[in-house]
Amino acid sequence: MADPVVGNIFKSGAIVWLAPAGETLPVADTIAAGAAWGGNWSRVGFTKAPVAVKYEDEEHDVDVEEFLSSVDRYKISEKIMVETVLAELIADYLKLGIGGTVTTVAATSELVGKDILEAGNDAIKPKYVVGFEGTYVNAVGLTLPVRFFVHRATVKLNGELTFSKKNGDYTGVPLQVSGLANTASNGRLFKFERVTAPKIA
Amino acid sequence: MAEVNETKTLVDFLLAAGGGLTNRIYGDTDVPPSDYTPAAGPCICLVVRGGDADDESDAVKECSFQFKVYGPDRPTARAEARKLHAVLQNAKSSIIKNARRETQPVTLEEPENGWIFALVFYSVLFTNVS
Repeated sequence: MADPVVGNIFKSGAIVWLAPAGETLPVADTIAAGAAWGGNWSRVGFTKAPVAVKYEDEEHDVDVEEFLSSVDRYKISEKIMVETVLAELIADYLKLGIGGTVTTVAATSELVGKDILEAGNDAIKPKYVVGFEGTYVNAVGLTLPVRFFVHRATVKLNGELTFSKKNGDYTGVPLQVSGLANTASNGRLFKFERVTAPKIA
Repeated sequence: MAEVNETKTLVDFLLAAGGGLTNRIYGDTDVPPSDYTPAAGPCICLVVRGGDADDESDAVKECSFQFKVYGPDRPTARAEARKLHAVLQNAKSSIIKNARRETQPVTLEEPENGWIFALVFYSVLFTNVS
């Protein structure tokens, strides 16, 4: 906490990245704002809705007969969700929401190129690590990243796929990322990282 | 907290932005200076046309700007509007938090002299300089 600083007011879109659970997080010391995160990280294409993060926890109040108000309070569960709507209707993005297997067939003289998603009857949900990045410009004009990570998560389709010719909207893929405890790191759920200054030359 | 000079900030930003944008950029006027003629090439006039009420903190303010992008003909005026869009959409600086186009450009003609311009509006969020 500190005195108010207008530079800390943040206004940015967000770029979403995704990798199989266990992937190393991008290191802010070497990966600049806007740069690819490397490793097995894949950028998750255009989005047609804002990236929204929702954190919820459930609390238990400790009450005693002697006082009207609680004497203590504990967190007894928590969850984090990241929601957006992807703008591209492709098999890989549907797979994120529904599961299944994507087969890619290259075009030949006899075959059309195609992506095929076969989905259904998959009880086991794949686990991912999900991150997103926004940027801000500091007082001397340098663009710096703000990153948010969910260490382990599952993804589900978070609404309808809408097909209509009656308005100017287009089909999006609504996704919800739901965090899981990172069992490899003391049950941590998420990480927020804001680069506040570049390296000193 | 001093209030940012939003028009000067935006004009200075656009003049420094490059991208092949004209350097004839004029703030706080909706018509070019008297020595301008479209034959000289594109020019941009911008004025604040409104915006949101002041933020609760007074730390930021959102202004809606009207841009008139003049050119010797309709294609040139619209091409300059696209250059403007390339440098201004999602723009950020130490003072500009974000910029977004509010409407698609419309090509119009000044009734007095027939000059062609593309009319377009952008919303720009500024920090007030502390």
